[in-house]
Amino acid sequence: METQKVDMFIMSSGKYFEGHQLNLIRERLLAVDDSKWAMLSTLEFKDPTTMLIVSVVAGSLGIDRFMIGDTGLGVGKLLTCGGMGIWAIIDWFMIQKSTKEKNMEKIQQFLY
Amino acid sequence: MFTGRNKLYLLLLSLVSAGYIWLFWHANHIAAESAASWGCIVKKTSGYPCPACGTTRGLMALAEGNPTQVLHANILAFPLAFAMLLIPVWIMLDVCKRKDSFLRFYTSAENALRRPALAVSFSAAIAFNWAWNFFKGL
Repeated sequence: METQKVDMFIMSSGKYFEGHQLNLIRERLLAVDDSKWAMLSTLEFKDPTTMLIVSVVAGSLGIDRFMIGDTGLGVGKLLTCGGMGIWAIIDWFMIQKSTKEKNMEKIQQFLY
Repeated sequence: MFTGRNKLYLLLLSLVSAGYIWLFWHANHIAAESAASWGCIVKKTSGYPCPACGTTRGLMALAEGNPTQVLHANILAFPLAFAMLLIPVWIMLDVCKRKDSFLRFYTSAENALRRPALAVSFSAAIAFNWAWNFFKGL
């Protein structure tokens, strides 16, 4: 893929991934075929900041975990009222990292 | 969905252990008064019952061999009690036999719950139970 396109992607979507993952993503994107650009543009990533807001507002119902695709943990949070609020509070600090991990899983399916 | 079996197993075992510790603490006669006054953070802050409100009381009623009392607390105590009994045993068996049968079950259950029909039914059941919690005045 062209360097210009890859750098544009990294600039626009960098916030969806961990900083240390960006170099790997860039290298892999440079290696893949240019025809995959259209497919890459259609990929939708979850915004970690939005997930943090959702976690603060509705974390005790597990909505944040449902939204990032952790259905099992979402059910767990829902059935325990966010671990009586304690798990919900812990997730305020964990959800951004989990969201970035989920985004990485999603782009990995495309990269490999 | 977890990529690592051990990560999921460790997390679930921690959650189940926390559940047992909470129940043990709640069941202790000396701590019962302080447990009641501490309660659930969500209930204390919002003043409204959440979908899981009354689950501790339901689990305690089950532990005391009083399943009909669960209806007055929260019927979610039934699936939670089942999960709290089953999950540690299944995970221990998996660890001993070096298999990942629970992980495969967990993944397939997640995928099944993402199907619209099941997701809507599950949400409706939870919403109904939540409304019932308000009705019971939990």
